[in-house]
Amino acid sequence: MNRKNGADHVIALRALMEEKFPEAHRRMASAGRAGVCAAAGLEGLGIVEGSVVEIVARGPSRGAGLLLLRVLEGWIRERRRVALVDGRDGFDAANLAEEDRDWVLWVRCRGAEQAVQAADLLLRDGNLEAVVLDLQLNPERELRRLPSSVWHRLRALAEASGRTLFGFTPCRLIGSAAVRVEMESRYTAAVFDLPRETLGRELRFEVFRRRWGGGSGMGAEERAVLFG
Amino acid sequence: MYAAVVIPCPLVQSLERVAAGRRSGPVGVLAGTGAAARGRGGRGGKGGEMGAGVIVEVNAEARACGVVPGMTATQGEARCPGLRLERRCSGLEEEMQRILLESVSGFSRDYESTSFGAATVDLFGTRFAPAGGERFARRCIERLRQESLWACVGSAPDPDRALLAARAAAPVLCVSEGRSREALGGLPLQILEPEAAMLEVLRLWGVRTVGAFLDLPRAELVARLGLEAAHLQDRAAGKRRRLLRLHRVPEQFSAALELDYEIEQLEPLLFLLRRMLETVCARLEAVYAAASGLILRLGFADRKTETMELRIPDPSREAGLLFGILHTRLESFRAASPVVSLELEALLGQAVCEQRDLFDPGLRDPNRFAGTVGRLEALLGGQSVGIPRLRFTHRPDAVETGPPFGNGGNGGSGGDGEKGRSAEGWPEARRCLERALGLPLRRFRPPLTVQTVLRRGEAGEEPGELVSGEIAGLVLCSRGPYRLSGDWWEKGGEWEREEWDVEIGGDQAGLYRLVRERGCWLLDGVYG
Repeated sequence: MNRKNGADHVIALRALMEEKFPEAHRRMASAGRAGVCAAAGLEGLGIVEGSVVEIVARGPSRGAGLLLLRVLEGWIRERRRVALVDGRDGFDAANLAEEDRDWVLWVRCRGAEQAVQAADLLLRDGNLEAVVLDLQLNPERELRRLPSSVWHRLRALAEASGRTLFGFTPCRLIGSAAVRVEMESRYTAAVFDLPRETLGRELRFEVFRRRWGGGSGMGAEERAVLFG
Repeated sequence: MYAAVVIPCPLVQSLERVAAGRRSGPVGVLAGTGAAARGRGGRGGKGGEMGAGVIVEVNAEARACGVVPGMTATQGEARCPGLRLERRCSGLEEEMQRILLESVSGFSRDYESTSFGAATVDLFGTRFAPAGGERFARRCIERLRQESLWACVGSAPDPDRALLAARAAAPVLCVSEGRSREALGGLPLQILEPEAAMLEVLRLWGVRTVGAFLDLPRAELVARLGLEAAHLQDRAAGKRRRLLRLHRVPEQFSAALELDYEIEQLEPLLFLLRRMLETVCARLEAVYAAASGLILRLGFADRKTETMELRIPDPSREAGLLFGILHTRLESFRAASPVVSLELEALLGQAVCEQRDLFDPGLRDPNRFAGTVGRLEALLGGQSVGIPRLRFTHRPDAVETGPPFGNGGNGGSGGDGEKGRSAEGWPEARRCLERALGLPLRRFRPPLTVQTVLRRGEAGEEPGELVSGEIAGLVLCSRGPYRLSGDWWEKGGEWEREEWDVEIGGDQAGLYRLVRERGCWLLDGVYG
């Protein structure tokens, strides 16, 4: 086997591996998005392009809103456009700096069903780098009514388009999430006097990651990192 | 290399083109427009009126019978008993000229409408240059024959000689630079269209052909007939090369359809729109333009109309893509009565071919994104999708959505007026809000009404407990009141409110914003 033929074989092998194990290759490609994760304080969580990340905050004032802002700002800092699908029209635009607002497509929904449909359309479109689906204010019983198939559809769309979906929920909901972050912080009135930057550093969350190569086992996830 | 396309007897052909099957026999065209006569038998009582007309053009068969332009109808009929006389029709003449120009536009972008029934084409830069004049002629004649028009084509190194060649062609005459004199010399002098007085003088001199005219000494010719004669000689010899007065299709690209039937469903409407769009896109392609917007006007059976304007973020002339945008818009459209007419107009723009910002990758496919935004607007309503914007006011929660990512998918689209005010123009208070301390607020829209029990605090009354509503509990800690007011200078628009930041215990424990407005307590949002 001469050298040229050998190189051809390696290229062919790589192509075959990429075709067989696309997930692993997305992981490699995600290195370029490290800045986004670092900005949001989510570095090291193994968030890859085309995956679904669920952020669970079981109750108000757990810091999920702060994390949402940091996710948005992370993408904006990278000069990437991002969609915010607001499940209960609760986003306060004043939380973002004026120049940052131009990078966010705000989709104001009146219910979880609308929000899921909007996320579906945006993931299919694939023009925006990430879709942030905020269902934090939606009542749990409304969210439970959504069939689990919608989450699998969204995961498939995210994979196909190579876009990341961040879902902010009040309970564990997205079974197909590759990474689940559970907010552990609990803030009191003392935080009213603290700058947002300081609060961000104090965010505590527990991370669960779907076991790599864990077969089809739903819920086959492992506790990966504990911050705080 | 230039080519001229001439339609012999253009008035006769414009009338005969629409009367297939009656193409034989001598025909004369009378001056003035009006109802077409149907020959001697068909004139009936109008005989006297028709007889007063003057014949302006005849076909070859009528000419063979001795009928020439300038004769009266009576004289013509006396010379040729079977002569069919027709009146001119300006509509048909315009239609024929349009067909002629459309036919030549398929070969070259640069052409002129030289006169009625004649067009000159610049073949430079086309696949027919430099020696494809004859090939062009054959194709052009074939194309016009499909439109029931008979044409003659001449080609030459300059436009004037090309026109002379076309007038002398039967049906093709190609004149090269060195053999111009040989090819055109034997043509009658009238082909140069000199003034009648000059023609008469030349006739008296015995000058009958173009060749004889070219042999006349220039200085003596100018001395006797003036500069006009010299210009004529230059034209015939190809010494003057004029520029073409280029014909450009008017920059309006539209198609309209009046229906004999009513359309109630989307599919048949889309079928017709697709056809219209393909026509419009073909016209756009002919002038290398693209559509930056579409205007669709629908007419309904109840005589109402609906006009829709669709913006194309990335101008395009691709029928499929434009159709997709139209389809998306119409999917969410409902009308009270069926459609009976439709008109589609494309707004002219230039296809975007620009280098992207190195640090801003932009949108992958702006048109696809526009389609998605359209679908989202159909799902959620027009004002629910866009870039978040704050209104120019101190009033809390004065937000709206701006156009999503502006034109061409660039960030920082900005608005106009108050919306697009720069950071420097914003109230200092708003900028302070942007750098607020504490957790970000998520708003309840609309705010939740709560019943609040007050208690006496250090600085007066303060919220003590939320006793009813979706969120209830003891107030563990409160900050406030923060009093805000504004728009008091506008009658009826004034507002005033008192805000409290509270920590509530119990099942819904968390940090909330409580507001007292017009005597009512409202939960404005939750911090988190």
